[in-house]
Amino acid sequence: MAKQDYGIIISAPGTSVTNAKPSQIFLNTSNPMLKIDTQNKAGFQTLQLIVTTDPPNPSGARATNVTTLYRFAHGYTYVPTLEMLCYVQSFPPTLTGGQTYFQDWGTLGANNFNGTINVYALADSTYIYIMCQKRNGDDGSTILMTGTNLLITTHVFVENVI
Amino acid sequence: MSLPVTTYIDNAQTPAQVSTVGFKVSKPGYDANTASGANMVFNSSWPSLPIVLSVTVTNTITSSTSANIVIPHNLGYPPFAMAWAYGTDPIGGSIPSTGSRFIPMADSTNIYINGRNPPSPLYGNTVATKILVLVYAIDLSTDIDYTLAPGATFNLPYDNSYGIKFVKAGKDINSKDMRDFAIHSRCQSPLIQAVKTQATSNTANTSTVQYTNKTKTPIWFYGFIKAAANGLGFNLHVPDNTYCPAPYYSQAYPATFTDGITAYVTYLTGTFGDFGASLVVLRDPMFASNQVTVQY
Repeated sequence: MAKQDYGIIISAPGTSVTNAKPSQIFLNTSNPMLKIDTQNKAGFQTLQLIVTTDPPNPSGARATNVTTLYRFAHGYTYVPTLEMLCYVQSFPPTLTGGQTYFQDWGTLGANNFNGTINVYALADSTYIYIMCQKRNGDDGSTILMTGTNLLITTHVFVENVI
Repeated sequence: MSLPVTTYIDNAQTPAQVSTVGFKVSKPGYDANTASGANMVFNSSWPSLPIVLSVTVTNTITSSTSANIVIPHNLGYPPFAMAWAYGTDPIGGSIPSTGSRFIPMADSTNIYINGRNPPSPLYGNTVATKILVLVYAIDLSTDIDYTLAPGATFNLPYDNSYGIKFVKAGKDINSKDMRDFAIHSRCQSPLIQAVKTQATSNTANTSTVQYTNKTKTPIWFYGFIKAAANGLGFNLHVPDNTYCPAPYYSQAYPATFTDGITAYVTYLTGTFGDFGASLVVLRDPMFASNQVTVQY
């Protein structure tokens, strides 16, 4: 049975359900809603992440190192779809040009030798990860992250990636 | 943070049609005919994110690939979509089997995925093997403002004997897996607050689409450039009128600028310019988030 063979479509008053534009459809059960489970605390979280210990530095010019800043169990047995919104309340002290707001992946800025720190989010079948990647400068200079404060919102949707 | 430019004016509003038609489920003790938004469990008028297409494709592009992955949707309008790349941590870590989100491009016929469209986790140290694309019934080319306030956030104990659910074809109505449901009042999604395009830009703005949040509810933005094939579309290998994401960058084009309350996207015009821009504005779902403070 095709999904269009049963269900409910509600269109705006005065608009036929067969001719309605997307903005004129209030409900169509053939189109599942993107869902966050209100009974899963991990589904909608606001994280205040305070960096008080510096993540390990890479070694050498332009070298990189990835660290898990924080992780939490999402409660599913599969890789869920994830959205991360980040507000940088305070940047690493020696970096400039960072993004105050970003989604999923963003840079906290760069130093005079192109050293950077990036922050991003991942999901696997157990955890949500907040990660950082440090990249040394062209001169091998390392970058401190201590003092960085991030306000991160995560939406873990029930839909699976794979 | 202040915006780089503060002299733009918000786009004009295009109010969505308000209707009392549809499904309403009020909280116990409240009349569905008269209850305010804060006392509703479900209302079919809430502008949620409906998924019109869900498709998983094998990733065939790498950093050296110039062509796009093309996914037909044939909706007749350019839809807002999200994609997740599946593979080992794309930034350089070692965590295997992860999903990382990015925003793909779209026109009225296809979804386009190009690793050059930043930010993209499709490749890096390890090439993603699969990509999930969720396409929503949100038209990037049509303005709309949802001025109907769904109500304050609430956090009542869940009552599984009260609400509404619609199971997907072939699934069990008694399933405990929320993926099996098209609608389930136990679940919520981020809501659409507005879609703004160059069609409603203030005449004082120079090729800019701007929106300011006038509510206290947290919102966030997705900016797009309506690209020309010989403008932004040239390096991305997409045809005219493809909507290309403009991420929150401060040094590149395309870019969305925001201070968390106001956001704007500016598009280039002229011989090698583009046709317009759009902003999708989403707001928090209507329940309180779990607040956590952590230290590293």
